[in-house]
Amino acid sequence: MEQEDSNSSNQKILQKRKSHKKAPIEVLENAILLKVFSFLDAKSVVMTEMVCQKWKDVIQESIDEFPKMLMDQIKLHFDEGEVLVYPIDEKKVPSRHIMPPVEKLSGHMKHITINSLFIRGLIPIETTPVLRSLSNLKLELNQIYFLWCDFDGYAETMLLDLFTINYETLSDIGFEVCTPPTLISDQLIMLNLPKLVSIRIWNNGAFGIYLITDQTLLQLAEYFTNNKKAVLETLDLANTQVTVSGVSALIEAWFRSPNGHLKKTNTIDSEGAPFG
Amino acid sequence: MATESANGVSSPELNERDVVITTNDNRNFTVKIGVARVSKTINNMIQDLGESLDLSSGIPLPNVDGPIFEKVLEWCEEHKNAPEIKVEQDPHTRERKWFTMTEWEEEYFRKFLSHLWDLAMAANYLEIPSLYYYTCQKLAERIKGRTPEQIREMFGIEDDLTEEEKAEIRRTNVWCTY
Repeated sequence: MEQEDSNSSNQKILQKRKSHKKAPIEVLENAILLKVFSFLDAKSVVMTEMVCQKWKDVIQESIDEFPKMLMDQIKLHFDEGEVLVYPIDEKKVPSRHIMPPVEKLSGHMKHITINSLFIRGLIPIETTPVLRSLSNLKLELNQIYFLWCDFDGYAETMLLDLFTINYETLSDIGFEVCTPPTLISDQLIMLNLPKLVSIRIWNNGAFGIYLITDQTLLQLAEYFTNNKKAVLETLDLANTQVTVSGVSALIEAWFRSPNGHLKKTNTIDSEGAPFG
Repeated sequence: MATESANGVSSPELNERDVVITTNDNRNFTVKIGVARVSKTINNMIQDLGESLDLSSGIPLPNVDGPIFEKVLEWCEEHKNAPEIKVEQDPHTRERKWFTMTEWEEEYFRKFLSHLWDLAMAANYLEIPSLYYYTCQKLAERIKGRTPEQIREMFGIEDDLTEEEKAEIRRTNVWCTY
């Protein structure tokens, strides 16, 4: 840059511009790399991560801006320490993996979005790290189903985070034989309720009764009455605190709703519930 | 494009006038203003200078060298009347929609294939969206579907990941090997 010897008017005036906005070469290169990578498909992004340290860093720092690979389902079996990954292409066989250490879980899922996430056999000590890892990812879940999960006392916030992060896509929530039963409450699903097509909350009664009450049913009834917001198709509850009045309010609203002609298979399984 | 201006220096007649641009290796380029202002950075400089614009004394480009600027100018000449490019992304997959290039543009990148990174740097600094995005797309085209080894080889990138680091990345990405 040999500008010292020049005293042209343009250069003097342009000196003013030079003082601001001069990105260090490093930053500039990273911006260009990001732009280049933004044209890639998810598979190529995964490859590109192994080229060199710098490319790896650029990708990992902005991971959520890149395309991700869509998987049909991932099953996390904490009780057996294994993971099953089902690709979108039904002709391909699912793959089976050893469960990674909890702190590495999010790394394994950073290039992935998942239609359906199935979590089995979570124990209290794993609750916080696992749910936090899942909430930090952009999984864009459609369905999340918990089976035989024993959550710790702080799980409510974590579950709410996970449900909120996936609010736009999440249409199906299920809890089957999960404890503590007081955790599974109206409040837990209330936020997502307008978007839920399927709610399955079920246990065999051996661990107590879930805190799902008429509040949820009345809210659903209101969505059907207001019609526009009604998307629910499947409601499967067992061992909850819902009563006859909640159920009948919902059925009535459902029946009256123009979209809600009861020809879909709607199970309101109230076996063991404290009414009737 | 770019015939509007707050200070009145911009007009069709002005586009036909010459301006001298000096690259960081002290080469002077005499360019029609209408061509030079395909670069938003240069256009801003011209607008900033306004009435005091001295066309003969040269606009300095401290971040671009002559050989690259020459190539950039070729692009500007071809695109002086081109509309702004539209950058689109598939909202679902987050994949950027690829641009369709003209025969001239394809030929341009074939010719300067070994200078793509420099072109991207210059286009970024000079704010020429068409050249910037298209060059980045060309780079992506070369990366796509290739193995890390092939990519390193192609761009002369040093392999600075240890075997252990590579194994770790492979382990971590094993769920997405479809």
